[in-house]
Amino acid sequence: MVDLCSLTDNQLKHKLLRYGVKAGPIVASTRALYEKKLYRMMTQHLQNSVNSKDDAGKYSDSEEEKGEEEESGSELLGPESVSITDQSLNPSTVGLKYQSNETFYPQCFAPPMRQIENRLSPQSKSAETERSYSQTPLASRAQWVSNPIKCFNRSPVNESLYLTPECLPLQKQPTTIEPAIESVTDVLMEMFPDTAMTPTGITATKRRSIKGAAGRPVQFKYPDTPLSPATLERQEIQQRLVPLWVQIVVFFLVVALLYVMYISMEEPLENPFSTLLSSLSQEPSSDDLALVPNSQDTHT
Amino acid sequence: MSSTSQKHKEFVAEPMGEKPVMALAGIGDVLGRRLEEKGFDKAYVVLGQFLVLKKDEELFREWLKDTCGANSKQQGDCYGCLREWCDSFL
Repeated sequence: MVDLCSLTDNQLKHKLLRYGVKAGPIVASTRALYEKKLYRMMTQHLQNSVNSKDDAGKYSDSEEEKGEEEESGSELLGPESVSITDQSLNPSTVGLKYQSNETFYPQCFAPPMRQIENRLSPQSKSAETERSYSQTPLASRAQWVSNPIKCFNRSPVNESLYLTPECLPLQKQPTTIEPAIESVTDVLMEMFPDTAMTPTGITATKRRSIKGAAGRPVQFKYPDTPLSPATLERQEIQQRLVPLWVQIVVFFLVVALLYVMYISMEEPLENPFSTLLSSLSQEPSSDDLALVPNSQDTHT
Repeated sequence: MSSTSQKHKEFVAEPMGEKPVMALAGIGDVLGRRLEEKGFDKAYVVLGQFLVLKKDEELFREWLKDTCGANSKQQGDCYGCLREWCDSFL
């Protein structure tokens, strides 16, 4: 390794640039820091080139973050390019990596189609991933394997497209086909939840009405439509009101109470009525008796 | 990183002027004295170092650690307060 202290400021800067670090001004107060950084990058790179199989993804990630702009030109001759090329010369390794579950793609093997699609439609990741796997042309993959130099020459250009950190976790997704099929059926079931599965798999469904389709994408499941304020008010009132069964029970209780009162009052009521009636029946006679003398008086 | 500390708020609220280095968030008496010994007696000198490192968090944190032995929280406080100051006044 070169003695870092003996480098001039410019050499130090160029070396950092080769490791993808865009150094600021190298002056007395910053030189020590940049020397240390370069040393760290060099040791890290040495480790990476020793066991680059495991760290390829990580390495390209960290490199990507630090300097995106100057990578296309100055890195072509960098030592890491050699290690990547060495990897890509080994087709059996490539095949294994492609099928294993925890897949790390070296820079040039990540299929660009998939990354772009994932960016375009993040909400349907699983289905998209599957489709892009099938869409990634075998021919081009084979070309990458058989033609690693060309592949590498392409990679720095594409790098800034698809090796950003948020895309990296996606590369670990399993590459089997089954989840994709599941997701497709899920979509169908989601679209038509109430259709029975037929043995042929062909179903006829009536067309859904399109709600408010003024330029908006058609969803197959709409969330609950917002309620009008009047409905909300009514619901609130209903919540406060006594439930219907309680009302009915209370009604019957009252009816029963009234009936019992009526039954129990029937007997005692008879007497007052009868006395009243009897008094009424007697009264006219007394009235008559009373009236008679009056009339007699008037007559006399 | 406690970006809501009183010191941070005070520092970020106004131009730093001739404030001493102790006015920086995360720099107390001890670290401030160490920085002064190395010639960083004003907050703007530290700001100069921060800027000459191109506001790079990693490098600035390392520099702060090397210069005055700041711990991770102090580094974060100081970096955050300088960065925010730059965002509003630079």
